[in-house]
Formats: sequence, structure tokens, C-alpha cells
Amino acid sequence: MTQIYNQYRDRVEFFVVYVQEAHPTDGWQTDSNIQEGVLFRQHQSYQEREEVAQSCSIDLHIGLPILIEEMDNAIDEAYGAAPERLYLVGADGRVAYHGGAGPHFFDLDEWEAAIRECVASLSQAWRGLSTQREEHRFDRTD
Amino acid sequence: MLKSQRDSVVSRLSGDDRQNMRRIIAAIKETRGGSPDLAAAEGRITAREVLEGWQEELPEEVRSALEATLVRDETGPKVGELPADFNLKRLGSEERVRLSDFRGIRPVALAFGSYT
Repeated sequence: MTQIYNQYRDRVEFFVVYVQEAHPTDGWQTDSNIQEGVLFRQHQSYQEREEVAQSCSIDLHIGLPILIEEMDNAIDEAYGAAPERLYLVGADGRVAYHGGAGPHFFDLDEWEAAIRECVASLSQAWRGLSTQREEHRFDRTD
Repeated sequence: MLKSQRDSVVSRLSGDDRQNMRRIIAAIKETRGGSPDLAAAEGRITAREVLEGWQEELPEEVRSALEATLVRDETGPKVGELPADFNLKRLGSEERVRLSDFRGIRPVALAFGSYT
């Protein structure tokens, strides 16, 4: 993910949105989290959510800007976000990629392909615009 | 569907049933891709068509868990739709970020998740 971020960050805005814990100690605990010592209860407050997000960001070396979901989990619900999910919103404000629900349908390659395509079509639009400007300039000089 | 509703169905599965479910989900991903919108856009077989055409008899628990997984998977704004706006605080700063502020300016790539 960091690689994708570094490649496209000058043309695309990137955010990690930190939502409710997928496998908290007081919920559906998984063996892998126990083995790796990733043990956190479900956040009881916004401050606790921020603290766990901070630990996650440091431990996993997340370079992307992180936004913290409010405690009402409204965005999580609207986007079907937890446990993990990827989206791309185009420059027109509409969804350009609606990733599948994680972990099973989480697909970084698809996300990257959508970002690549989006950036390419924007560049093309810019080229079109500058060509029009060029033609316009020629019209005026003629 | 809420994550907690899906979890309550899936977390009840036995080890064998979970294996079974993973196998079918892998087949779905293989056929239609990760995004629930790709199949429709590219004329591929949808998740539900894979499930309907599944030859083996599936225990009721596995069917319910798959159904919950697909309903959760279909949740959220689809390609072409305007997503719900948000205004969230950025970690480590007082800055707030509003999604709609980027409309007409730049694409926004979002990765939702948690540590656990």
C-alpha cells in the first residue's frame, strides 16, 4: 500500500480511515492476533480509538495520512468498511472503485489498477484541454 | 448489513464449515474479482451466480455465513454513485478532512481498516 501511495500521491489524495477493531479481545478473537500479540479491546472512547490507531501507525509503519472514524461508526456503516475495504473516489466526487469486503475480497491490485486508470484519464483530459488552448491561440494569431 | 451481524453468523461456524466457506469464497473471487461491481461492469459471473451453480450440498450454517458475507460485500456506495460525505479528524493533528472538499479537484483513494 505504501508503494502505491508513494507512486501516486502527487496526483491522488490518500487516506487510511481507522474504524472499529475487526477482532478485539472482547469480541471475535483470532489465533493470529494472539500469536502476534495484537491485543486490543473494542474502543470505549474516541481517545482510545486514536491511541490504538497511533500504535497501529507506528508498529506497521503506515506512511499514509490516517483519519479517525467517530464513535458512532456512521462512516463504517455507510461504506461497509470494517474489517477492511478499499475505495477510489474520482475527481468528479463519484465512486470509481468499490472494493470488496475484506478480508476475503480485499484486493490491492484491483485498487491500484483503478488508481492508474483514473490518473491516466485525468492526464488525457488535461492534454485535451491544453490542445484546445493551443488551437485557440492559433485561431487568435490567424 | 453491519459487521457485527455478519460476524455473529460467521464466527459460529465449525472449523470444517469455515474451510468449506473459504473454498467457495476463493472460487467467487477467482471468477468475479474482488470488487462486487466488477462482474456487472465486465460481464463476468456474479457471486450469487457462482453460489447458485455450486454443485455440492452445503450445510445451512455455511449458506447463511456466505449469504451474510455477500450482503456485507454489497454494502457501500457503488461505482458511479456519490459516496456519503465525511468530516474526520486527522491523527496527530487538529486538522479535519472533508471528503467533498476534493470534488472537482483530485481523486481520493480510501483504505478503511483497523489494527486487529
